[in-house]
Formats: sequence, structure tokens, C-alpha cells
Amino acid sequence: MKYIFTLLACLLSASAYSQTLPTLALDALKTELGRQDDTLRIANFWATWCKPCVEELPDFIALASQYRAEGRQVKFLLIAVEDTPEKVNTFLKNKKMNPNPLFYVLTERDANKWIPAIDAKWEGEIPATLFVNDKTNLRAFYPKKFSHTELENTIHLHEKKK
Amino acid sequence: MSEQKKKGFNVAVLGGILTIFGSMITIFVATNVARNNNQKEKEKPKTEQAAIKLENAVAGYQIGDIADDFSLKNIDNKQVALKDYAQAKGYLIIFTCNHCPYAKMYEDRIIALHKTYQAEGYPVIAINPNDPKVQPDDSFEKMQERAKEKSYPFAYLFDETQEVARKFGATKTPHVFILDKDRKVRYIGAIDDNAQDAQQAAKFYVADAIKELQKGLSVSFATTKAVGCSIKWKQ
Repeated sequence: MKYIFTLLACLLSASAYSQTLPTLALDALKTELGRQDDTLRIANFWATWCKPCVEELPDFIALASQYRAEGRQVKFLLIAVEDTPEKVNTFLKNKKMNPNPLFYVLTERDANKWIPAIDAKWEGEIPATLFVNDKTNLRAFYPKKFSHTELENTIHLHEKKK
Repeated sequence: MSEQKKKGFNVAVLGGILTIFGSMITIFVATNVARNNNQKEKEKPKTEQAAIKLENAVAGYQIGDIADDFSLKNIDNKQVALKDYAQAKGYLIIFTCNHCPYAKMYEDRIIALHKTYQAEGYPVIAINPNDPKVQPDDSFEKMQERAKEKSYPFAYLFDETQEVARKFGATKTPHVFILDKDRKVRYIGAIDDNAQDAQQAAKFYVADAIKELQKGLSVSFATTKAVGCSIKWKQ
């Protein structure tokens, strides 16, 4: 009987944490950002050790669920860089943030490769956010921390440009 | 190399045009939004300010530019300028700070760089560009504390007006600029290729750059990229 409980507890906890954090290779990221569709993609680059990044995450999460509810064609990718999946998973668990469907970990560790692939002039300071739609040639890069209002306004700006 | 330079130049020009164009769009849209909201007077100057800030951030020295000398307050309250280093064959100017986890990871390596290369004529000159109002851990007093704790062997200067950081085009901490004796910018970027673990670093960009400069060569990897904490600009 005790074993069954243990087993049940294990299963339950496993299902609670069954959401896994997807990893993203640089090529996969490039493909995702280069899709020829009508979705505005917002790629935010952050790290668990970066305080201003962590401070702006809740705004991204809130707007993402709001837009999802409104059925808007906006996709958020909150991409942890210079971090390991273990660290990011622990961080998300502590913050009670769901890894899916927003969070990713970039696996490419060669900064000289992935930083220029996002923006040619970017030196790698974070937080930084890229707004992209390849179909309309939209590519706007903001190496800065957003306030909630700024983020909302910037999304509006680029949504209209579609 | 020249082709790379040309490419860099093209990218810079394109970037400049895009920035100006982007700013125009931003101002235009913001003005319209403001008009709609009947807040024209309030919104417009803010956006213009933001646009100016963005342009300042993307400007800055490129490889081959001659950097202006500067005079900043050191942790001992004395002003320090590059011309004070009479024996220098070059300068390792490192924008860094107290609070940034990445700057902290590199702290010991910055100390080691100074200990190795000062004797060879390449002293480290550390500059904290952050606004303490935004990040209290980067105040002048905290700089003094940290420098004392770790016995910094190099100058640790406070760029209170952030003019030096803007002129250099520094965007993050740590951000390295190597100048030669003539203050010509020879290298911009990271210290090495592994912030998290010094033992695992495979490419020692700064050390390799100095070795090349010592041989009278140009630097093979004159610009490198790395993640860092964005500079806390005055708001």
C-alpha cells in the first residue's frame, strides 16, 4: 500500500513537472525567426543572473497570455542565453513560471556566432529584444529593458507595420 | 581584413541609416499616438530623447579610430588621464562595475591581466560607467570598498557623466577596448571566450591581442562579442 502511494506521488509530481524546457540550437532559432508567415515574433534574450532581464520577464509573460486570449498573431520566445537548462529550470520552478510555451534555452555557446546572427551591431548586452517578421522584412532590435507600457507600445508599433 | 573592414563600414552606414529612419518612424508614430491621446506635449520630447539615446549608444569608436584622452576620478579621489601613463605602450581600458555578475566573474581575470601586462607597458584602466541612481551598488563609495577588498592593482575610475562610455561606444560590462601608444583603437570586445569558467576558456582574446601588438602586428580578432550587463544609463 505504501509503495502504491509512493508510486502515485511520484507520478503526480512527475506530471506536475512534465513540462520540459525546450533547447534551441542557433540554426533552429534562425529558422524560427525567418518563417514566412503573418506572425510577429518577439525574441527576448535574457539570463537567470541578469537582474533587469528577470524584472521584465513578468511583463512579457502577461502580454503573451493576453495576446493569446485575444487571438493576436504575436509569438513570444523568451530565450535564456549563457545559461544551462538545469539552471533555467530551477529558476522557473522557483519563480513559479511555466516553461511552456514561452521559454527556451539557447544551446549555442559561441558568442561570436550567435550574437551577430541576431543583430550585426549588438555587443551582447542584455536584456535585449528582437521584433521580427521575415515576410514583411521587419527586424527591429532593442538592446534595452522595457517597461510594461513601452513593451506594449512597441508591439503595437510593429503589429501595425505588418 | 580590408574586405572585412569594408563590410563593417557598410554595416555601420546601413545601421546608421536604419537608426535615423527608425527614429523618424518612432517619432512619427509616437506623435500620431500622442495626438490621438491628446498628450502631444507630454509624449513627443520623451520619444525624441529615447531616439537620441539610441543613437548615442550605437555610435562610438571603431577599430583604427584615435581615442580622445579623458580625465576621470580614481578611487583615491585623484584624477587619472591616459597621458599620466608615461611608460605605457598601450592601454587596456575595461568598462566594468561592481554589481554585474559577469563583471564579477571576470574580476580576478582583470586583476591577473594587469599584473601580467602592466610590466610590459599595457596597464589595465578600469572604468565604471553605471549610474548609481539606477544601480546603487555601483556608487563611487562602493567602488572604493570593492577595490579595497580585492586590492585592485589598477586604476578604477568613475565615469560619472557617462561621457567616456558614450564616446567609446561602450554598451556593457565588461567591455574591453585596447588602445596602442597613440591611443589608436586596436581591439574591442571580450576578455576571453568563457565567462562562467576561466579554466575552460579556450580563446584568450585580450592576451592574444597584446601579443600581436607587441610584435607590431594588427590584431587578428579585432572585435569579439560576448554577453554582458547593459550599462545603466542615466534616466
